[in-house]
Amino acid sequence: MKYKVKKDPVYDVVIVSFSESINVNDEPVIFKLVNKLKDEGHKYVVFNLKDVEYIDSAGMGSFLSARSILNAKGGELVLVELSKKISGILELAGFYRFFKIYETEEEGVKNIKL
Amino acid sequence: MKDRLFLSLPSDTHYLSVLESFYKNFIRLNKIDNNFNADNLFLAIVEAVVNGMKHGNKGDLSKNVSISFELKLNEIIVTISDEGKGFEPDALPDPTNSERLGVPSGRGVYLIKKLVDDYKYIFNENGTTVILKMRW
Repeated sequence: MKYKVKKDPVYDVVIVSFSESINVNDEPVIFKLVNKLKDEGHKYVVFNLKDVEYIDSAGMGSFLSARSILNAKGGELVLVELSKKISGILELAGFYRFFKIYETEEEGVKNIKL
Repeated sequence: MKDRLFLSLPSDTHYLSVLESFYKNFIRLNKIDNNFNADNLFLAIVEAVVNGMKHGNKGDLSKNVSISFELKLNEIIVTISDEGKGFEPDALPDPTNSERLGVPSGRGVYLIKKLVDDYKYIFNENGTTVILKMRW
């Protein structure tokens, strides 16, 4: 897994763009990253999954943990730009309904605080 | 390309990258039908292998997880074996139940059931074997 972090100063939202695959080895990395963002005072985070090739159950679990960490601070996590493959896996696993999901990054950033 | 291949990995999930390239080459070199859902089968294999490494072999690097790929006329059979004690997959609770969302165990097995056409668990004193079947 690789990722890039950028900040949207207008909406005060952090966008993390992931690429390659998200698997069990990436769980602690995502956990650490979200905790670091939270400690820096960022509680609204967008995960852009456009370039993610596959995600396993541990990867999905790490998203659930990330959401819980941010929710506990009154914040939110949204997922954006899911490919057909990734949204299919989330649906199959039964986790799709637990996330706020938007088609575009712009929509995710604008709606995260709603 | 032979229609039956074997791979044996130490119980370290960082070897998943070896599994990924092995699988991609197996699919590519055998020119498997386009209707075949290679992504779903790969994810099911990953879940079974990770379970074998973490829960079966308990991360013991002296123990391996072996994977065999067998190509039939219209299906692939993947057999994953660890050297652990085993468990009862049907006894695992539903991991998508809201009350269990924070509990990581059981997600992999749940997903395997959803991803492949057929699956079977076999337990004996030498370890657990999972057989996955995917047709096209």
